[in-house]
Amino acid sequence: MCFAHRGEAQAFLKFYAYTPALEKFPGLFSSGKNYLLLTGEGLINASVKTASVLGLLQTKIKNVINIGLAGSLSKSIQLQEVYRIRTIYGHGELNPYFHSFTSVSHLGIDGLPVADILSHSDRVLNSESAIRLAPFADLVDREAWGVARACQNFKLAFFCLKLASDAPINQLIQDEQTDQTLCARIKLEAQHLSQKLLLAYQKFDEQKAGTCELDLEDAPSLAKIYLDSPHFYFTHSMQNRFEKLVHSFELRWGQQEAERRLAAMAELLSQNKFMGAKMRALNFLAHVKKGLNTLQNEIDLAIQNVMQPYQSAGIYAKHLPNGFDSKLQIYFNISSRHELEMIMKLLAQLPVEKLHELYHGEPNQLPPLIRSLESHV
Amino acid sequence: MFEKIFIESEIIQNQRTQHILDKLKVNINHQSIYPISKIEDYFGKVKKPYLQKRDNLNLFIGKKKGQLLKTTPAAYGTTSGRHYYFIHAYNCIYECSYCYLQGHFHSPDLVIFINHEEILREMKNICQQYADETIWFHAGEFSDSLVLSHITGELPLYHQFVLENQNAVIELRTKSANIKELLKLTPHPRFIASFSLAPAQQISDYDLKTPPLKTRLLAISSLNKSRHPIGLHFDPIIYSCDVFDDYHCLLKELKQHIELADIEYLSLGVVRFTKDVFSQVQKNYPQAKFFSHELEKDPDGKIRYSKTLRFYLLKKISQLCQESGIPKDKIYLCMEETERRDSIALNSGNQKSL
Repeated sequence: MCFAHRGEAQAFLKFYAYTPALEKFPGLFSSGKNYLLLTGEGLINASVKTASVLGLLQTKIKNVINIGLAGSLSKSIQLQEVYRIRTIYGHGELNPYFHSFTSVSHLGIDGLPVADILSHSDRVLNSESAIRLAPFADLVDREAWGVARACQNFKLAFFCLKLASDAPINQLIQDEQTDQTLCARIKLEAQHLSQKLLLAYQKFDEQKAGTCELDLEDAPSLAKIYLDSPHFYFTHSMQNRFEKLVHSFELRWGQQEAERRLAAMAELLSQNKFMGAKMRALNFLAHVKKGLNTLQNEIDLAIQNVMQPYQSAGIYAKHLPNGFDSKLQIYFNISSRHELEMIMKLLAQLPVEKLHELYHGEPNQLPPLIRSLESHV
Repeated sequence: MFEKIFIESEIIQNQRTQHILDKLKVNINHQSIYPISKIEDYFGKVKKPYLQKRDNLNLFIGKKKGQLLKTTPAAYGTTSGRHYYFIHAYNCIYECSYCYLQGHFHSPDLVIFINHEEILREMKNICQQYADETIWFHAGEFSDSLVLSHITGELPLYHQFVLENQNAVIELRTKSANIKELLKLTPHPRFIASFSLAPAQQISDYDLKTPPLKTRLLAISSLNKSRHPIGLHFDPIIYSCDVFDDYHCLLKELKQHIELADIEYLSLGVVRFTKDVFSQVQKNYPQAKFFSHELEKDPDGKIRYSKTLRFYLLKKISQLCQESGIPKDKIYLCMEETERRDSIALNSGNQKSL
């Protein structure tokens, strides 16, 4: 749990009996089950402190919730109401930050209203500033964006609850609040506001616990089973490619059938003692690709059938789709003039037009194969 | 419909702005109205999640600045004439999972521009500059051109433009069935409504919130009966095991609503993404079925099916269309290189179908 100030956190500190967690990290408390962090005010404090704690505690943290007070930028916001925050926008001294973050607070939980928030680098104290910022979001605070940003770096789920405590949108410039008057007022109300936040949090937490959607532990993906297998070695780029292909494969065949097919491929490859782990992984990739692109396989097969007699003589064709006018590249190796003459004779018979048409998906060149595929479908 | 409406202060009293607000039944003093200095101060300045359009869609009303007309990319329209698109709006109330708008503007909010006179002035200049050529002006590049036409009310202006400019053709691209405003206008051969169609299942899988096929076909039928010219787009074609059967059924249904020989043109295009759009689509719709076939990066940077597969799909569907009675010279390919477009669209018809 991240709060800017002790005042906002006081009801939480008391109710959950938080005690200081680490001597070298003032502001970090532990209840045995959860941690509570006082970040201090502002985007930089929030971001730096949260990131430091996440780095320090690493896997002990499963998700993060930012709780606190916010100002209203819209007449549609009810003061003293607690909102679940959906999207968090950021704003520097002069300009908005392009990046936004979406919390998971608004998913699958009823009861508390939803709003977007703008975290500003400065306090927003009058209606002129509020009107300028209102198009971005209905609430304004100074920390949520910083905390969310740190969570994104650590790939952690982020929740956010904010109580609308004041309304700079209604604050006329001549009546502009000063930092001091605002702080003094909030300090007076802090206990009451913190209690309100605690009640809202408990309601939220109760529902969160019962919502499967918010169980953010990663389910092991189908690809991961093979990425972790000692039979295969995937380089980083191969891993990315494999994950994408397996995802497509699951969409193509459905989960059960995909699982069955992948297991069969993996078993076959694992038994091959002549291949190293990387070669097996490369073959696995090629098999998954083939299992995905059935229509393309049929086209490739038709091309291979045409090329078969030439390949036996060491002549290969490659399609170069680069640019707008695609070309056929024919290549071969020779060791004597005699071989060259033989190859030239064979090349004279190469059905260039037919190959071109095949590479350009000409249906009439593919009838038996494609027809069988379509009837199979 | 819209949570907040942002209006550029300069045009807040404009008659066209008032018309839009009246149609939306919103009073100018309502708390959802926010006067702003310029749309570009807010729209797209921050990244608003695309899917937030489902429960929080805002509207911006303002004047289009900068380029009002743009030349279309190569292979955008029929092979004849010069092609431009004009920008009357950004974004769309529909949610098609392959739509490139999700990676284009950084915000799903709708923007309506009201300075049509300035757009028309530029269109007139082009018509005069190329007086002996046919000039195509396409609407619907960044927003559906008919779905909000009863609110925006600009159709009569563009219709009048076609009447006054003999070499101008206007194409209104749509997925909607909102033809009420169009039916109020006198049909004109150079004022063409063009409908994007797909097999019924594809529409329900990918074209979220759009009218179902049946409704679109009824709209086509009633425009056709009123003698309004109709264009068709089978775009994007998405590969599935049943793709040819599905298009066969689509053509059969289409034939029951319109004489296919009467259409102005049909464009065929296969699903494609730019790199940015592709990553957005992966994020927004990870379970979309078009990911069940491998897509690859083309030399032109687009992510799509392999060239061989693409051309196979296009040629087969072109054949089906010709067999259903669409004249081969009315079929063209969208976003495929020119020399191949002709050969696919025109030659396949002479070959025996499978």
